Amino acid sequence: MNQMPEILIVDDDEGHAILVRENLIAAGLNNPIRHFTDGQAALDFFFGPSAAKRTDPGQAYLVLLDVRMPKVEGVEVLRRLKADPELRKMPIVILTTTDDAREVERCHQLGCNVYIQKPVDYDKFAEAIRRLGLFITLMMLPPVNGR
Amino acid sequence: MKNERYESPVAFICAAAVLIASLALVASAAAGETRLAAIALGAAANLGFLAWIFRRTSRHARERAAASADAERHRQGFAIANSIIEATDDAIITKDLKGVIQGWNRGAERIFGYSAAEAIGNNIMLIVPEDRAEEANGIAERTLRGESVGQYESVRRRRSGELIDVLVGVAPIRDLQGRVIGACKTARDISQQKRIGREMAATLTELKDVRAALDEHSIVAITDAAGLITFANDRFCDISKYSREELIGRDHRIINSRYHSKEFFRDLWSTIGRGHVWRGEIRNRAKDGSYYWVDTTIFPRLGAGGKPTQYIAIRTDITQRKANELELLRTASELSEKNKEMETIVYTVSHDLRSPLVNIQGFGRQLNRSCERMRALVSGAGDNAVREADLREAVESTIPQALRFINASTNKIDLLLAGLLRYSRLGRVALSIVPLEMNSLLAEIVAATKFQLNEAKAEIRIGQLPSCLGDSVHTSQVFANLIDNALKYRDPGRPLRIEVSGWTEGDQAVYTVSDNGIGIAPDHQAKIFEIFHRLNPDTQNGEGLGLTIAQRVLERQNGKIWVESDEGSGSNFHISLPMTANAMAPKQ
Repeated sequence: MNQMPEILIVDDDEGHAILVRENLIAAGLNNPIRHFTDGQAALDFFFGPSAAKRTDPGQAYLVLLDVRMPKVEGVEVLRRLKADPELRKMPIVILTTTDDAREVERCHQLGCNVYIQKPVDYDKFAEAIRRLGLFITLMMLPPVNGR
Repeated sequence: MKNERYESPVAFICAAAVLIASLALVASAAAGETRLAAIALGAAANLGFLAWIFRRTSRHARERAAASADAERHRQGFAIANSIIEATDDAIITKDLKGVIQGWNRGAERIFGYSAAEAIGNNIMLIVPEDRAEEANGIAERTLRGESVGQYESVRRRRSGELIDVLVGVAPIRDLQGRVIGACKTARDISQQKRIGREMAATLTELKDVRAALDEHSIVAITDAAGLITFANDRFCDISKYSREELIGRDHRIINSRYHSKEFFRDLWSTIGRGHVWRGEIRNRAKDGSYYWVDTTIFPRLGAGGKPTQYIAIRTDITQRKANELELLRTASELSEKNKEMETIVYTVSHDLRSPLVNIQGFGRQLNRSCERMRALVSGAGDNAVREADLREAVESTIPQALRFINASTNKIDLLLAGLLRYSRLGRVALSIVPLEMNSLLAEIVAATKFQLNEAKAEIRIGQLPSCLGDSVHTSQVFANLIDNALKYRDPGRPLRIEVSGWTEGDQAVYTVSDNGIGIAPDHQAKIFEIFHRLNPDTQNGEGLGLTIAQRVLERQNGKIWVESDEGSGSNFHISLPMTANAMAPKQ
C-alpha cells in the first residue's frame, strides 16, 4: 500500500513513449513507468497466463492508453479493463493524437477517466504531459488486487 | 287587308299553291320520297298556274269573282293562307319565265335581307352568287322544260354579300294549256345546320387525331362498369403480351402481379366507383411472367345517374424509371458507404500522419537542447558549468536517438503519403475489362511465388475455376496479395496449405482462397480492409494497404471481397466477380 502507483504507458510508438516519460519525469514524477507497445501486451499483463505473477497485491496503477494500435486497439483495452470488476478502479487516461469527437464520446462511454490529445506542437505537448504529471502526483489511487 | 301583296283570290290561290308545294316538298324530301315531292310540286304548281292566269286575265273576270259569295270565301281563305305564308321561315319566291321575281315572302326577306319591295321586279340572279349562276341557269332550264327540281343544297347571297347555305326546291308554273309560264322556288336557310355539321366533322377528326396521339403514347384500356375490358389498344397488347382477344371480356386481374396489397386495389375501386379519377403507379405482370410498371390514370365515365358506366384507363410505361429509381437508391447507399469509408480514411490518415510529427517535433527539441549544451561548452561555459558527462550522453545517446526517431518518422510519413497516393491513383487508372481465364492467371501467380512457397514448404492446390470478366493486372494483384498474406500469416506449428477454389452463383463467379494459417480474430475481421491497418507490424513488413487496395480494385470491377476466419485454424477469403457484361452493367 505504501508502494508508489505504477504508470503504464500503452503506445505502439516508441518515440511517443520516450517523450511522455521524459516529460513526466520533468514534472517531478518519480513513479515506476512501464511501456507496452500494443494493446495485446497490455491485456496480457492483466489477463494473460503470466498475469498472476505480475501484480503484487495492493499495487496501484495508472494507465496512459493510446487508441490506434496494431493487434488490439486502445478502445478494446479500455473496454476490457473497465468491464473487469477489480481493474475498473484503475484510472485510465486516453492519450492519443486524434481529437475526433466520436472517439472522445466512445472512450468516455466506455468509462475512460481522462481524454487528452497529444498536441503536435512540442511546446504544447510538453506542457500537456507536464501538467498531467503534476496532476498525477496529486492523485490518490486505489490498489488493485491480482487474481 | 293587311297585306297588299296578294290582293286577290287569284293571287291567294297562287300563293297557297306555292305554300302547299313547298310544304309537300319539304315533307316528302324529309321522307326521302323525291318522286312524291315532284308530284306534289307539280300539282301545286298547277294550282298556282291557275291563280296566275286569273291574275293576268281581264279586270272583268276579277270584278265578277269579287262580287260573288265564292269570292268572299276565297278572300277569307286567302287571308289565312297569306298569314301562313308569311309565318313560315322558309323563303317562297315566284318568278316568271325570264327569271324576274314576282313574289317574295317574309321568309325570303329574312333569309336574303331584301324587302319584298326591293326584290320584286329584279332578276332572280340577285341572290345567286357568280359561281352558282351556271347551276341556277341549269335548274331554270329544267324548270322551263316542265321539270321539278327537288331539294338540293346550294349557296345564295344575302343583301349584305354574305353567302348562306340553302336547301332549294324549284317547280315550274303552268298555264291552263300546260305551258310553263314561271317557276316557284322555295329556299330554306340551312347555314346553321351546315355549320353544325362542319363543326361536328371537325370535332370528329380532332377526336380521331387525339385518339391516335393517345394510342401512340399511352397504354389505353376501357372497361365496363363491372371492370371487364371492352377495349385494349395496341400498346396494351404489346406490353401485356396478351392478344386483344385474350384481354377483351376479362378484368385486370389477368395482369395482376400480386405486388400490391388488397387495400391498394380496394382504394382504387372505391375511388373510381364514386366517380373520382384515380392516379397511381401499378406493377403489372405480362403474359410471359415479366413485370412492368405503369403510371396509371383511371377516368370514370359517368352515366345519367352519376354512376360510372365505363372506366378509361390511360397508362404510361415507367418500368425503366422504376428501375432507375432503384438504381438511384442503390447508388445513394453505395455513396453513403463510400462516404463512411472516406471518413475512416481521413481519420486514419490524420492520426497516422500526426504521430510521426509529434516525434519529429519532440526529438527536434531534444536536438536543440543538446546543441545549446554543446555551444555552452564550446564558448567556455559561464556560470552554468557544463558537465562532460552531460555532453557524452548527448553525443552518444540523446542525439543519435533523436536522429533515429526523426529519420524513422520522416520515413513513416513518406511511406504513408506514398500509400495514400497509390490508393488514390487506383481510382484513376483505366481498367481494361476482358474475359479472364482464371486457372492460367493463378498458375502464373504460383509460378512467380514458387520460391517463397517452396521456402515455406507450402502446398498449394488450385481447383477448376470459372472464368470471369475483370482487369487482368489488377485481378492478378489481388490474388497474389492473398497468397502473399497466407504466406505471411501462416502458423509456424504446421505446414501451410493454400487452396484456391471457385464456383458460379447466378451471373457471378465466386473464388475462395483458403489457408490453414493463424486466422483472424472476429474483432479484426472488419478492420483488415481498413487503410493502413496492420495486424502484426512487428513481425511483418508492409504498409497496411494490400487488402484495402484489393477491395478498391474489386469494387471498380463490380466485384467484392470478404473474409471468413476461425482464429487459430485459418482464413477463407472470398472474391466475387461478374461473369457477363450484363452483370457489369449496373455501374458506369
